[in-house]
Formats: sequence, C-alpha cells, structure tokens
Amino acid sequence: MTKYIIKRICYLLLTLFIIASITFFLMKLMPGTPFNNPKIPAEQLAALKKANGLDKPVYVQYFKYLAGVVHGDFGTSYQFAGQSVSHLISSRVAPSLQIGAQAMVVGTLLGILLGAIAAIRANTWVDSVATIFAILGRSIPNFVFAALLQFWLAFKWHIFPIALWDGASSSVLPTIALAMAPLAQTARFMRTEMVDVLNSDYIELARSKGESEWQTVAKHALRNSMIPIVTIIGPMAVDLMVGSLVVENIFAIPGIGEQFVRSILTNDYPTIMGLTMMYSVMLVVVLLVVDILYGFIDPRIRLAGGSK
Amino acid sequence: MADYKINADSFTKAHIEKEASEHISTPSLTFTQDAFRRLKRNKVAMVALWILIIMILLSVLSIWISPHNPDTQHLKWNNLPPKIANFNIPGFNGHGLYQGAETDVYKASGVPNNIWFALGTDSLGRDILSRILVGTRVSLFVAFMATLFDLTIGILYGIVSGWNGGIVDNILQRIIEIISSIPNLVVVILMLLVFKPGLTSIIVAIAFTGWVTMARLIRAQTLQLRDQEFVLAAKTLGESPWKIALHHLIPNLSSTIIIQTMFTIPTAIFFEAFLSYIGIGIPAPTASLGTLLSDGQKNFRFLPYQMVYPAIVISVLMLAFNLLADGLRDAFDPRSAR
Amino acid sequence: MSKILEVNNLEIDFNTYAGTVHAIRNVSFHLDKGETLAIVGESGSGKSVTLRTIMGLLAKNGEVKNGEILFNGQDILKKSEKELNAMRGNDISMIFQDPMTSLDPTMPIGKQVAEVLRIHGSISKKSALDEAARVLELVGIKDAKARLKDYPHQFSGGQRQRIVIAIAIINNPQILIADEPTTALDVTIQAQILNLLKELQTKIDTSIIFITHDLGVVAGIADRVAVMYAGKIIEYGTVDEIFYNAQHPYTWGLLESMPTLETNSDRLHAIPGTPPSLINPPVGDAFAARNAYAMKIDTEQEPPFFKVSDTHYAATWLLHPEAPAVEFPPEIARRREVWKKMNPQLAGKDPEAQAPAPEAKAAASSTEKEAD
Repeated sequence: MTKYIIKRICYLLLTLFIIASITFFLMKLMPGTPFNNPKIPAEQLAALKKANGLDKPVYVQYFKYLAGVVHGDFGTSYQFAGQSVSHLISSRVAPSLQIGAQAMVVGTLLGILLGAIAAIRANTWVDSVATIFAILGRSIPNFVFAALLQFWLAFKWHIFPIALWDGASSSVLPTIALAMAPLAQTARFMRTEMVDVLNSDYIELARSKGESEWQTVAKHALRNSMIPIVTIIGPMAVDLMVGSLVVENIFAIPGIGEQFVRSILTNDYPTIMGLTMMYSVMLVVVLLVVDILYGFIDPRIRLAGGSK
Repeated sequence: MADYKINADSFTKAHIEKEASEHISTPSLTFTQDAFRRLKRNKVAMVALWILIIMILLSVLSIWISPHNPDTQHLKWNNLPPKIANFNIPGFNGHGLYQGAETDVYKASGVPNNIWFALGTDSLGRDILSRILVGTRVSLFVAFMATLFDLTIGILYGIVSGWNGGIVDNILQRIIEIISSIPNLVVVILMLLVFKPGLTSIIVAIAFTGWVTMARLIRAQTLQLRDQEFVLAAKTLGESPWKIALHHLIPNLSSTIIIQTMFTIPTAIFFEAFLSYIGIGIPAPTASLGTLLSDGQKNFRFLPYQMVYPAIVISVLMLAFNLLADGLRDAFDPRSAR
Repeated sequence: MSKILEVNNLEIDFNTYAGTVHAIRNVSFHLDKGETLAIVGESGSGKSVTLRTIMGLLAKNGEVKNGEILFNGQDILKKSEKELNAMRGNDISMIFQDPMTSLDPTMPIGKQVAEVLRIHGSISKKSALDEAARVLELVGIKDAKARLKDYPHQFSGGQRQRIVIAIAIINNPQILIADEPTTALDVTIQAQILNLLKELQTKIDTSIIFITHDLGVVAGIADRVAVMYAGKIIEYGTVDEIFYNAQHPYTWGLLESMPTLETNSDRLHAIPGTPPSLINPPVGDAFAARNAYAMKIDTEQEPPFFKVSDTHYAATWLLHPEAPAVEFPPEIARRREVWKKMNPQLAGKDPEAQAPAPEAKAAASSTEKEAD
C-alpha cells in the first residue's frame, strides 16, 4: 500500500510539472500582454517588462517560474497592480472551497438516497420520478438552473440573498445550484449499482437467513453499492470546478472561480497560470485521495496489499 | 385429466421431424437489428428521437425560412415582449410592465400592427425566435463537429493502443493518464486564449478534451476483441491490420461508439454554451444558445423571456439527447436495461 | 415415516416481456422426516423455482397460480412476510450454488454467520460470534475463532461453501435446501462437501432437498429421486428404482449421458434437441419431440402417473398396458439386468406388467396418497 501511494505521488508531481510547463509556454504564445497599450511610453514599457522579468530569455523566465511555483509564488497580478497572485488566490479560496464541499456532500448524500429508493422500487412510479429528477439534473445547464434559482428564490420571493458573500444564507443558493450535477450523477450511478447488488446471490442468501427486505438493504445492499460511488467522486469534482466558475459569477461570490473568469477576460496571465495550477493541484489531490480511500473501504483491495 | 381417449393407433410410433426438435422458433436477428428493435419499443427514447429530428429540421430550415432576419437590428423596437399575431394569448400579447402598469409595449414603441415577434426582441431589437433558431443550428454544428473529431481521434487512439499492446499501449496509456488529470476546463480555456476565438477554435478545444473517454472505452474493447477467434483467424489468413480494424473491429465496436457519441453530443452542447456564457466562446454577433443565454442573463430580472426561451431550448435539446442515449445504452446492453 | 413437507399441485407462472412462462406445471411431491430427496433436471426444468417458492423467495415477476406447500401442516404460501422471515434461516434454510458470489464481500464472515443467530433470537454479539466459531469448526473451517474477522475473498471456494453451509445449519433447521451446492466446485472438493452434508444430516437431524442436474452426485447422497422436465415431475422413486429400473425415456437419457466406470462405450450419450419453450408448452408429453420412443399418443395427450411400485411412479405412455414392448437402449438394458439380480423375486416378470391400468388412473389423480 505504501509503495503504491509513493508511486502515485511521484505520478502526481510529474503531472503537475507537465501542467506547469504547458501553461507557461502557452502563456508565452499568447497574442496580448497587459502592456501592449500603445499609450505607454517605450521606457516605461521596458521598465514594466524588467520589473516583471519579461526582458530575460524565455528559458530563464521558465526556470524562474518553476522555482516560484515550487514555493507557491506565481508572480504578481497584472490586473491588480502590486498584488501577488498567491495572496489573491489564498484570500479567495475559502468561499469556493466551502460552497464546493457543501455541494459535494449535499449532492452525493441526496443522490445516494434517490438512487437507492429508485433501485429498491425499481420499475415502479417511484423509480420513474427519481429517474426523471436525475435526468433533469443532468440536462439543465447549471448556469440556467442557477439563474432560475436566483430569479425565483431571491429576486421574487426574497427567501435568500440575491448575491454576494455575507453569512451562511448566501451560500445556500449557490450550493443548491452546484449540487444538482453531483446529485444527478450519484443517483444514476447508485441506481445501477444497487439494482445489480439487489440481484446478487449474497442478497438472496441474506433473505434466506430470514432478514426482512429493509434489513437486507441496510446491512448488505447499501454498503456494497456505495463503495463504487467513490470512483465517480473525481469526475464529479471536475464538474464542480467547472460549475463554480459560472455559479460564483452569477451570485457574485468572491471565490477563485469568479476570479478565474475575470482574469481570462482581462488577460491577467500570472493569475490565470496560478489558478490553473491551483485547479490542477486540487484535482490531482482529490483523485489520489479518492483512490487511497477506495483501497481502505473495500476490503478486497485493502487486504490484497494495495495492488491495483 | 381422468379421461383419456385411447384408440387403435395411439400406440404406433409418432412421426417427429428430426429438425423440429433442433428448430429455433424465433427468427434470427443480428445483434444490431435486435438492439434497434428494442430501441423502437422504448417510447421515451422514440419521443426524444422525434423531438431531436424536429429541432434539427427546424434549425436547418431556418437558413431559408425564418420569421425575421436574425441579424437585423431594430434599435427602436428593442426589448419587445413576445407577441403572436393579434391573438390575445397571455404572455404572448405584446404587453409588458412599464413603471408598474401593464402597457402594450408594441403600441408604445410604435410597431405597426402587422409586425410581431413571437418570442420578443432583444436589447438590440433583434427577433429572439430567429436568433434561437440560428443559435440552435450553430450549437448543434459545434457539437456535431466536436463529436466527430472526438470519435476519430478516440477510435484511432483506442484501437492503436489496444491492438498493439505492450510498450506502445503503455506509453499511450500514460499520456492519457496525464491528460485526464488536467481539468478539461483549464485545457479548453487555455486553448481558447491561445487561438483566436471563433467556431473552429471552440470545436478544436472541445474535441481536444473529449476524446480521452472514447479512447479508453475503445482500447478496453479492442483488448478483448484482439484475442477472439474471428480476429485471430483473420490475422492468420494474413489480412492487413487496417482491413482487420475496418472489417472486424469497427463493427464490433459500433455499439460502444454509438452510445458514447450520444453521450458526447450533449456534453459538447453544454461546453459551447458554458464558454459562450462566460464570454470566451463564440464572438458576437454570431448567435449560439450560449451567447443568447449570456445576453438574456443581463436583463433576466426584468425581461425574463429573453433568457427563458433559449434556456428551454437548450434544456430540451440536452434532455432529448440524454434520453436517446439512455435508450440506446439500454437497447445495446440488455443487462443494464430496466 | 412422517411427512415434513408436502407440495401439492403447484403451478407457477412468470410474466416476462416475451410472454407468460408456465414454469411450474402441476408439481406434487413430499419430503419425509430425516430423508434426502434429490430433484434432478436440466436447467430451466423448474427445480430452482420450486425450491425458491418453498423458501418464499419467488422472484417478483413470479406468480403462484395454484397449489399448496404444507410445512408441518401449515401452508407456506399463506404465510405473511413476517412469518416467512421467522421461518427462513430458522426452520428452513438454503445453500446456494455459487459460493464465490453468495457471501457478502464487504462483511467479515464471522458477522455473516452470527447474523442468523441474532435475527432469530436474542443473543449477545459475543456469544453469537462464539457460536459462529463453533459451527464453523463443525463444518471444517480450521482455527475458525481466529478467522472470524476475515473477509470472504480470503477463503477458497470450498471453504466458502462450508461457510455458507454453516450459515444454513447454525439454527438446526428442519429442512435444508441445497441448490446445486457442488456444481461450481472442483471435483475433489465436491466429494468433501457431499460427505459434509451427509455427516451434518445425522448430527443435526434434518431433512434435505438436494437439487442437481448431475445424476452422479445423486447416487451418493439421496434416498429418493424426483426427475423434472419442462416444469413437471415425470418420474420419482427410490435411488435404486431410478438408477436401475427407470421407466421414462427422459430418465433413460439422463442415465445414458452419465459417465460411469461401468460404461463400456467410449462416447458419451447426449439427449438430442433442446427443452421446449414454456411460454406455449407442447400438447401431450413435453419430452415427445426429443424422444426416440415417442408414440402418437405422446403428441396428443399428457401421460398420467403409472404406478411401478409403492414408491415408484412414472408419467409415460410406455407404461400403459396397451403400449408395445420396446427395445431398451443398451445401457438401460444393462441396468435392468442389475435390477433383476438385486430383486430376485421379480425375476421373469416384465416390469410393465406390474402396472395395471386402473391403478394408473388412481395414481394420476392423487399421487400423494400411495406414497405413504
């Protein structure tokens, strides 16, 4: 197991190195810089470039950048003069993580519930209703859903704040909007898994022991169908990151998603690079944690010595 | 059961046709025929299919027949609410709230009585219905093209990786592993920053991230097929790898390919809309469902119809694709069918 | 001997997309206390469905159209779900075919065995686990106490089947139902499991219904045998009667296709054709289409049970007094010779002659009465 984890961490570092390199060189290819304003006098431009290290050869800039990345230093934002990117990110990461985590927990738990109910009552109206929910959740784009929530629950009925980040109640609507995707995905996955499990021999054995239907579900079916759900947490985390860009934008939440969109629209390259790295790190770490977690909760993998 | 009619020839030898006992009574269908038969019986999937056919037809026909020119701006007639002829249908009668009172916006803006906009006009006075039709066409075009690239790259990559195995497979799989640990979104956004915004770069960007799933699925299947008798036989007979791929692998991979394609299209539609929505997608004035949603969002609180109709269209489109995809998967994989 | 279980005129239909499958078509049999009854038949003959119905575990699309299942005189089919739960795993328990998939992969085996005790009685976790360890030792899991916390995948197939057996016997059930318990196992392990079942039967004093498609397995374990074909029982009798004096051509086919040390031929016999569809069961004898001895009446009318002896009945028109004598397949003829040597008092008599017509009719209408 330890050997496997070490191997995975090496992969993770290699991946991050490649991502850092790709982002760096892509940024170098970019057509515009924030300094291509023709009104800026030549000397001032040179000074700006020098201050940002842009006068040196590309490979020097590259190593400098890599060294910086290792220390968590992504340079200075072009957009907010004098503000370091790492400070910009760290001051904005909390709301994004909070909403993301809430959406993930709410989405998966409700999804498990919905999927399990659909599977237990497979091919009845309960199943159909749950399936319709899951398909709608998959088909309505989250920014449409977010806008609708905002319009009805905040603008029309004043139940929750329309936007901005002020206390717990402002996290409710963004959380619901973001939770839709993981909910739909988990419900669908859970239903398929659970239908399989409920048809398995060990469930029949459990029934032949004299367990009631609910006992079988609680003791055997739920756990066995929930274990594979861990494998879709990774893809769902990616969806959440994508979703957070628009949802934070719609609700004007001072998070990294909103910042990312703004940086893209203003060509703030250091911030874009910093946030790209940030997102990649979050994703690879989630994937690794999920993988290790899977090994721990499934006795077949845990006891087989961690080989995959 | 108590009464038995027994007569003289009851105990003579019966004539039983030898073949009859081996006869299989249902007509034999190929796997694909059988799958489509199952699909036809799936009402939900068939409704979804018809909705899609109608939407695609309408959006294509609008090249020639469109209620208004989607690009003509009537600056004086901007933000008009929906109105259908002079029928007084609530919501489609051209009335809107102005300073708290319901007024006939068309009259107030001086629109002649014989001109109406079924879904209203946007802030530049363009007909929303016409723009939705164009937008649907553009979104579908982007999605289909992206999916086509997806398929080609994914199938080639998957077959090469699965067929060769060994070192080639190992290297190709490591590459996939690294690509898939970069968030899709980041790749797409970086690509859009590097290339000039426009249809082509959006298509390339979406295709670039989507092929990985397809390649994985195809590789896994190719690995299985590679060792099956009919492929071994073709190999032994000296057929070239390309011919084997074309005649033996692709037909057997077809169900995977069809199903995966149907799941890729709605994802591509979503991605296009998403990118246009956050402002790095299709540049103005070209309409797409994403740009329409993004435009509509600006006035959403006061003129909700500007966003609601594009939102309904994109949701129905994605819903129909998803339902059809589900239907296809159930039809091709009876085990997963309910 | 007293009857512990009596199945009368059972009829079960399954609703499928293709149509209604008449899976069980008027099946009657009984089980005596302490005996082992083997039900033999091809897959799809309805043997598993019958047993699952006895357990109250009929699939949701299955429907009992007719019949009764009397367990100690009470009809199982009339029991509530709660009563069934109290019965399952306690009075009647079941051993499944595939030990690789019949244990919960994510639960330690000790807990899975102890669970049965805790469902059917108030017993502390600790003493349930102690009891589980004792029974696991009894079924041959060595050092069971130390292995209670192990998971199923840490055991071999044979060991897992022993664990499944432990689950089945821990409450000393009156009836043990074994659904092809050795099919998924290696031949050497098969024998061990069969021996274990025989041993346990005397130890816990239980009756066993054993279903299999393999007559070879039956010889070693069963007291009586019932042969099923296309949702019906077509012949039943004691092990010796079925093995050496079989009457139904289908039973002959099964016997012929069984490899034995005594078989001279170097080819294995196979019954031609496939079982009929049970959506539209054939008129007459369902086996007629595959039967080399089929007569005209076989394709027209369903044969009743003809009595061969007090314990032996067969549903074939060949036993009708007017039916012509047939030339037996070589293997069956050889077995009949053995039968004659085993029963010298019958020497010279033709077996068919023992089945007069009037008795046959009586047997058909109330098959259960004679067997007492």
